[in-house]
Amino acid sequence: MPDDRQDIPDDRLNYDALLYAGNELDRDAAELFEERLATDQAARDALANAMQLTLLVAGRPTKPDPQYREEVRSRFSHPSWWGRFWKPRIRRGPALAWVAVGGIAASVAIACWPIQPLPSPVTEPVVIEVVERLPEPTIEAVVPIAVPTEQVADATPIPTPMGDMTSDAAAMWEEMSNSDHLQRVQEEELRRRAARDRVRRPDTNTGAGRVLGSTRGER
Amino acid sequence: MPGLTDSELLIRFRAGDECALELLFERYEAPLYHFLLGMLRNHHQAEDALQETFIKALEKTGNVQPDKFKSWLFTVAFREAMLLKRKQKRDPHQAIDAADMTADLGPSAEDGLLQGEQIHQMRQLLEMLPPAQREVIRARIYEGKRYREIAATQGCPVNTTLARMHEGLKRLRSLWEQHHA
Repeated sequence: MPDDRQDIPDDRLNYDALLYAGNELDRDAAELFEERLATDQAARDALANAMQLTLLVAGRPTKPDPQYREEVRSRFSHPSWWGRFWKPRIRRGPALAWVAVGGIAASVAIACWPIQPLPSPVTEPVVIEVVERLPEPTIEAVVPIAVPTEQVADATPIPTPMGDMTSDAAAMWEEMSNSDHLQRVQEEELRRRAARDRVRRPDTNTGAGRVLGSTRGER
Repeated sequence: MPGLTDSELLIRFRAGDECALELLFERYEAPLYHFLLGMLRNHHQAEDALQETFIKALEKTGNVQPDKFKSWLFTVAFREAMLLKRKQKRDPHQAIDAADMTADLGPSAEDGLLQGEQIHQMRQLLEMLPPAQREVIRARIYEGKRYREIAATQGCPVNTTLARMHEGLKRLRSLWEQHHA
């Protein structure tokens, strides 16, 4: 019978566990036992065993309410497919997911980007036809850049490009919607004005209406 | 799958196997719950602490050696229990009546037919124990007496009373397992 035998360390541990579970250890002994519980697995097992036996004999539930499992599961449950992108998994960062998301987004953006339709080959000849019919003004025809000195000195009015063109051609130019042609006309006009300014630059020394060309001609 | 080691279960759990989590519950919830109940003496607090223990322990499994998982679980459980005990000390309204050991151990036998049947069977098995052991268990668990009182009544040292209690409980468990085998 266990009544007569000496306490051995294991028994002492079991007795302390029984006393601790029953809150029958004095404060110092209880603190010592708790220090042991912090690190000693044998003491932990002894306490758990004492409680299990007590619960069994007392007719109390020996297992916890399983509701706690739901709470734990919900913390570690695997998220839905979209949740995987937001919730970092154990030992898996979301970096790979973000890379995939970035790739998909880039692909979608490229696929849906509004691309300007190329000019159809049907409209091209029409434009060319119109251009060919028009008298394409050249630099020489529009503005005589190298104007003869005498002509400048006589202050002969400089012919404008519109002066050489018929009213029909002007109307066609006006109706043209091709931006290249419009731009070209604009450039020609600017060039013409620049040439006229060069010819008619006023003499700042005398205040007279001398022109560069005349000075150059005197030399 | 039940034959898997803790290491294997942890690897599976980290890989997203939810069955591994269930097996970890099955393996450790009872000893952890008993340990926490022994420390806190309140089954509501023990269940709360058990939940937090699993959550905190499993969140940091990356830092734990799988072969020391059981020890890690109990360490986390101990810390949780100590936190609650300190809160109890600060708030006297939450302090439990420690003198009545069985007061907060869970639903009593009267709360359910199954438990009523369990306690009836247990009392029958109790009759099969040696009288000294039977008397200690009856006085302690069913009458709520302290060990010192029982020792004084029986005229023996407290350690003898504790030994009778411990041996009697072990024997009862053995008989219970045989009965339900």
